[in-house]
Amino acid sequence: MRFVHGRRRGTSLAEIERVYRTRFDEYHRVAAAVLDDPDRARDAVQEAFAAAVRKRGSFRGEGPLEAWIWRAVVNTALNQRRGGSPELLGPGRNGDSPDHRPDDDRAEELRGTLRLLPERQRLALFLRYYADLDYATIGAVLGISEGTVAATLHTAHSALRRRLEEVRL
Amino acid sequence: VNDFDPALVVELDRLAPPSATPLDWSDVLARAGRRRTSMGVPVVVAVFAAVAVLATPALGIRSRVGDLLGLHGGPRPGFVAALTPVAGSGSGSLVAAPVRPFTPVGSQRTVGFSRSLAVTIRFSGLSGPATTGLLRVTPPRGSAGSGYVVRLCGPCRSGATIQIQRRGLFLALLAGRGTAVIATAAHPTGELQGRLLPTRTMPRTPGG
Repeated sequence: MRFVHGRRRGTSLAEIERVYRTRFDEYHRVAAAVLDDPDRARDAVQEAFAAAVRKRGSFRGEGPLEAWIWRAVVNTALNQRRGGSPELLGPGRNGDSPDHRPDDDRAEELRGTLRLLPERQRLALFLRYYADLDYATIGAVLGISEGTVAATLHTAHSALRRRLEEVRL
Repeated sequence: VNDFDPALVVELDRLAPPSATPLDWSDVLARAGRRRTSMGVPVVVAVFAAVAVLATPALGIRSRVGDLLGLHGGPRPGFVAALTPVAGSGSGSLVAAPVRPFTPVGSQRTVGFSRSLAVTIRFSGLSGPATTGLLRVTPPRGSAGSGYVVRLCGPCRSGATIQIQRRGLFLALLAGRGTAVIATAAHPTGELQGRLLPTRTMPRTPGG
């Protein structure tokens, strides 16, 4: 995925709107994964973009504009999660459903495993799989180096694969 | 470089499936504007209050709120006079300050002041012992009154502190209507004299 870099100091309303209109689904999907609630996720994304509009003069252009907004979205979603449901991808969305299927058990296992992962690993996974971000951008969003992103994802992959193998057996 | 795990893709898709959420850019702009308004008003009020309380001393104004809060812990107004010879010789000074200021418990700062003034007179080089010390207060400009005299000491000793209290004296001194006079036997109408001037630097309060 290629990103357009913003100006060196500040960014325009039009640029933020362009990101909003072209990337909204990805922002929303990651926020939904963090909050486990599409409605709250939409609210988080709207708030994050509103914050970006307000603070667009402080964008320093040291990285992609998308990454700068990603950071706002992730932080807003995390703040909303801390102010609401304490669980990340908490159980119960499908488990109590009347049309319970075997696949739901695997989903619940995966949810449980994700919940046990450290927050950085969860966020790296969400940004990688739901937003298709490269390591450099994930690092910019989470404030870590590309190498740390690779190591973080490797650790998360190992834990999830192990769990999925156990479930399949 | 970024290797996906196909199995994880399937499982993670199941957890947070893509959804068609309608875009609403006008809502973003409305939220941005709403927050600025709601945050702006308290900030402006807070800044105004801080300036009103803290900056007024710098402008030469004492705010009542600051006084009550003890924020103007700096010097209190007092009075000083340089005593110069009008007859004979010698020189001296007079310092007057409010006494018995209220000091809140646990604070080193004084708040408020009483109507009593502690007056300290110092002099030297007189033609003889100081027989009398007076504070002559003239009437307000344009007033038909004749003013009055407050006796400070007699005989007087250099360095002595006298407490005086009289209704309206503080305001009269603030208006610059007070003059100190030190008389000697050789000059009974006054050998040293000086006008009391208000000062924002409170002189040391002797015995206060």
